[in-house]
Amino acid sequence: MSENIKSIFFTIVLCLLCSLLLTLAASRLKPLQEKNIETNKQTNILKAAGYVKDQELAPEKIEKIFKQKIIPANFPENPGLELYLTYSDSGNVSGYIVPLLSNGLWGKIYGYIAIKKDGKTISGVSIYQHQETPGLGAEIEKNQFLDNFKNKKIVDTNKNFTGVKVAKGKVKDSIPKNQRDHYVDGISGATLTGRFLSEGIVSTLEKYEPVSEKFRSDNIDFNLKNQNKDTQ
Amino acid sequence: MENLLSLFVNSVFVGNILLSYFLGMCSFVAVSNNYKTAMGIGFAVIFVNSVTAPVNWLVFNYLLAPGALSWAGLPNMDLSFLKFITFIASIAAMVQIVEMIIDRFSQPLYTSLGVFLPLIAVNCAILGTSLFMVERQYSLPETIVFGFGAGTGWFLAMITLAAIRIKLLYADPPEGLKGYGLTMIVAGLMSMGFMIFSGISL
Amino acid sequence: MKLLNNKYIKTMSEPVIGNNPINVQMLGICSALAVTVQLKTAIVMGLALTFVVTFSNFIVSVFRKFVPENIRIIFELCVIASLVILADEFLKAYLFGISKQLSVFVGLIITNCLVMGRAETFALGNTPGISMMDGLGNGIGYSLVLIFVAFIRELFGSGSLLGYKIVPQFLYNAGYTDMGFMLLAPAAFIIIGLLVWLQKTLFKS
Repeated sequence: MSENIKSIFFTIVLCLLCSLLLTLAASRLKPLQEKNIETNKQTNILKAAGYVKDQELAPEKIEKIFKQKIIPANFPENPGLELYLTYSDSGNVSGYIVPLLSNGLWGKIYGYIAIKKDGKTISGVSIYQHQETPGLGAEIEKNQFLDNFKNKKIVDTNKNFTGVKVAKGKVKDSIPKNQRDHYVDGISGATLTGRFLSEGIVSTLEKYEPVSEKFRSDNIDFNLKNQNKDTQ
Repeated sequence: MENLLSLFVNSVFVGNILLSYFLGMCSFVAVSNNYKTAMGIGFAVIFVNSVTAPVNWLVFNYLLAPGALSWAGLPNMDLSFLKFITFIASIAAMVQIVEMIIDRFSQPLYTSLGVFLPLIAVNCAILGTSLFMVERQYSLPETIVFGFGAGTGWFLAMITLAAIRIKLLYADPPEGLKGYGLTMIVAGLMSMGFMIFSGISL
Repeated sequence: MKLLNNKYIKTMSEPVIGNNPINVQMLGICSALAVTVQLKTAIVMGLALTFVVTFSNFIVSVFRKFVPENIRIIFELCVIASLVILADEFLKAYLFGISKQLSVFVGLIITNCLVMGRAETFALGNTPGISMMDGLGNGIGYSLVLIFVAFIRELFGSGSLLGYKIVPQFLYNAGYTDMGFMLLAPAAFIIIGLLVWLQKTLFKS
């Protein structure tokens, strides 16, 4: 009996010690971890807008560029939508950035789509989280793939919504000329990932169509979430 | 529904937990010389995986995740840093329970399977399934399908590798390649073979 | 003193270049092969594992006389899991980018055969100092294998090392392309198989 009691006592002490140590470590490190996540998010938004390339900048620098160039905004007709406005050096709105949420082959794909202020042309796409197969679907996070989205159009010449999709194979081989503005080259071996991503991009852009329409009709007047832009 | 079916097929073939993510090789080398033992451990893994994945989902989503404890009145608690230790504890516990159940209800099954169960508790594939489930933020139905699928994929890879190894006993490889080296190269070729499924969509 | 020093260094260096532990290390390699796509992640993974195995050996050895027999395995798992959690939290705080790439594989150090194996076979029967050295040696040996595989995979698969382009542009212009195959799973298996062959032929024990 004392064998078992000894075991139970030992186990309780072990559990207490481990939990104490781990909780201590976790709570001390948590602020740093959250800062990392925030910096990561800001970097991804900046990447979509093209203000940051791949080099790893210090968190302070990222934050500075973010505060200068990006403002979170509220869309009056639908305040729940996450939206960011980009500012050019002259202080005018140059475009907007929306979060991309797509299903993928293995899990969700997260990214940002940056659109120019004409409400029609994509200025950049960044993808920061996915579970796709390394070497195949995972290539969607590489610049080689993402750069193709630049200058693609989300509406056609008749002002109908088309979104942008990933073609199967190369665009010039599989897509008719008049639609090439709405497709990017696919990744070989990652057809399914491309299909999922296309659906995700289209549904994201559809969700933000009210915002895009406002930009197209040059009707920019959003509630800015922090009004201290002009202090920069 | 179609999403679940597609998830199942993907987790068995394209994203096979042994051949694409390298998990579970540990038990393999020890066991695969005998086709029967390979089958035994394979079935055990399918069973344990299908049971532990949903259990760990419940543990994570109702105890550990940020905001999970709101039913107990603690919405701001984030215990997700404890997930490794609670998952492995729950896996060990489930394996123990499964072993007791099998022992109670089916002696022949216990004698053929039972010896592998403790080995499975530290199988990378089981813990890996639970960790992937958290990372990919699966829902409960998705977790059940993924657990079963990953286990099936492991089983499939295991018995095929075992069968190939037995055939290779007649081969005459160089001395240095015998055993572990050859197994790895065969696994690599099989992994390539399973990649052909990446073009299939349902 | 000199004799003791020798014993410690010997215990540490044996798993790195010696014969026996290679097989043990090879078993534990598998769960980490997924991070060998890049050299950077492989190095961090190797460091994390070395940290875990060194200190788990140390702690298990310190308590080896106090742990009741029937909860021995639980104790080992608890120690290992706690150390892994510490490593993971640390990575998320200080090396966020890499920790995202390592994803679940840091957690899988818990079920790594090498860590449990050393704790069970060495730490339970030896003094803390030498157990720590054994853990360190095994960790380093393991890391070297990971680094070797990652070196080949990144160099031939992306033409870079640690993120810096190594393959000169003129080779690309002349028609050379990166071996995409190296970035896929089968390549890691085959490289390990060939490495084992090399090792067994060179170190015939």
